[in-house]
This record gives sequence, C-alpha cells and structure tokens, in this order.
Amino acid sequence: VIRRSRRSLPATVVALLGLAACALVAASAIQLLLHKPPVLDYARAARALHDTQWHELPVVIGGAILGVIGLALLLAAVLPGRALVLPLQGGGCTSDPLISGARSRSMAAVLRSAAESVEGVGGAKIKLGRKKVKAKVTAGRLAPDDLADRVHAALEDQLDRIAPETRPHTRVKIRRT
Amino acid sequence: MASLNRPARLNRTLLTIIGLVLLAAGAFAITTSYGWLHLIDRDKPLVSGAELPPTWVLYVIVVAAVVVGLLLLRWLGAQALRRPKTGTWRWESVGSTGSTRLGGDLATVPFAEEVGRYPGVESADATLSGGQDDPTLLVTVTAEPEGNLTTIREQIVENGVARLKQALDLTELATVVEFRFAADPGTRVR
Repeated sequence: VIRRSRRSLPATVVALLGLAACALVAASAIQLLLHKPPVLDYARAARALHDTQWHELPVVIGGAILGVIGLALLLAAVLPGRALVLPLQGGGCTSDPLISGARSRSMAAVLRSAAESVEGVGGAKIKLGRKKVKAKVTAGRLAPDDLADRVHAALEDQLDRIAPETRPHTRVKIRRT
Repeated sequence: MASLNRPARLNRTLLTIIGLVLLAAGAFAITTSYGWLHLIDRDKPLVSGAELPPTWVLYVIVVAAVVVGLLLLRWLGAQALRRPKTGTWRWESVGSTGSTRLGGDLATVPFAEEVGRYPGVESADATLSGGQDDPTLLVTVTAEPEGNLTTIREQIVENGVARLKQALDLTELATVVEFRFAADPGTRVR
C-alpha cells in the first residue's frame, strides 16, 4: 500500500472558516428578524454593494482573491502529495493476499540510526525516496578510511530487514571535518 | 476495499467541490467586470437595492446557514474518525432460532494481542473491515527498530491470519499491514 496525506489541514481550516461564516450569517439574519442591530452591518454592506458597479476595480480584486483561494483548495485536493507510507514487498498466498507498507518517516529514522551506529560516524542525515536513499554522513575524528562502504553496508542491511517493494538505490556522502 | 486512510476521500471530494465553486465565482466576477461575459450589464450595480429583503428570505437564510453549519461541523468531526469502518457480523445457527452477532472490532482483539507478542513487534492494532463476504483485515504494527519486517509478515499470515480465519469461519481473508517503527532509544537527540 502506498498511503498519502489525508488533507486534514486544509479540510479543517475550510470547515472552521465556513462554520464561523455560517454562525455570523445566521446570527445576523435572526437579529434582523427580531429588529435588533445585527452583528454584520447589513445596511452598510448592502449600500456598499449597491454603490459598486460591475466594471469597477474592487470587483476584479475580489474575483481574483476568490479565484486564487479556489485554485489553492483545488490543488490541495488534486495533487497527490508526498507518500506517507511506502509499499513493501507483497506476501501471503493467493487465498490470503497480504499487502503492506511502512511509514516513510519511521523508515528514515531507522535508516538514520543504522547509519549512526557505524563506528566513526558523527552524525547522519537521511533523505528517503521510493527509488533513492541519500545519506549525508559527518565523519568523526577517528573515522576509518572505508567509512562510506561501512555505512553503505549498514544501510543495505537495514533495507534488507525492511524489504521495500522497489529497492531504493543507496548513496552515501561523507563529510570530513 | 476498505480504506486505511479515512477521511482522505471525503476531504478530497469536498475540497475539490469548494475549490471549483470559488474558482467559478472568481472567474465570473472578473469576466463580467471586463465585459467578456455579457450575462449581466457591467454598468449596473452589484445588487439592485439596499433595502432589507422580505421576511421569508431571512427565514430561508437562517435555515440554510444552520444546515450548512451542521454539515461543516460533521465534516470537522470526520477528521477525528481515522479508524476504518467496521460492521457487525452475524451467523444464523443451524436449525434453531438463535443467531450470533460479533462486532467487527471485537473479533480482532485477540489477533492484535497475538501479533503484539511476535518477536520484533512492539505493539499491534487491527480492525476487521468490509462485509462478511468481502472482509479486509487492516493491521497497524509498531515494530522494533531491529525487527525484520519480512518475518513479521510471514508470521502474521501463517499464524495470526490463519487462526483468525478459522475462528471466523472464513475461506479467504485479505490483509493490509501498515508498519511503523518504535522510536529508537539509541538515536541521538540534536
């Protein structure tokens, strides 16, 4: 399985804003029905709208703002976003198929601790994609010469244990201080 | 198949609809303003009058705002419901009037406990989703950093799923597993 973002953040923001707008509109309409001064100044808003003609600049600006917000929401919904869960090798048998995936963030975390467990590594940064793993390693003072190979081996070892569906290509970059 | 990713589809659908409506409104305002669209005369004011609408319009506005607000509240609530949908399973017993019912999330408690005891697994959680004819078992496993995911998966299929199938009297059971790793105590904090 490959699992992507749920878009919870844009959904929550839109729902909250819409809820606030609905509450204000309903409250003002009820206050107008009860002949009390409304929260939203109806008379002023109506006058402003009545005094504006379609060919004036504020209409274009308002339309552009609406269009940009709409486009942003549309893109948030349509673009796939980063994969949160990367697929692993299939398993099981034909009657009980098993598909699986692993959280990419925790995959990166274990790969990082695998790289950092190698002797002579001062610190490591992992960039994990579906096809590539890039490790940026800071060498410690007592780092051996074949540090890159050792880190590479440790990462391959960890990848063996994870067994992703497409085996990513590992690249190690060593920075000596 | 049941979704492990609720409420992603709902969010995408609603965001698409709202985005399209806003985009259309913006495009309408701009094209009318420049005179490319002639549905409305561009020399007219945005609204015809500034006086109060009739009373029934206000009532309609109140009802519409309350209904839309409640729907939005429900959308907001759906963000918290992340577990896959489960149903109730029932078996009619042979030749008698009794029947057995089982909640879809209860059936998996012993399974999840068993998976949690496998070597390399720290904890596990499972839901049985979909109908009785087409069930899907959704498992979330928190593995230890040194855990071998391949052996864990084999164990799940050969022991856990096999036993669950027997218990629920199923011939087939598709399984979806999502792994995460427990935070490694050896990781250095920076």
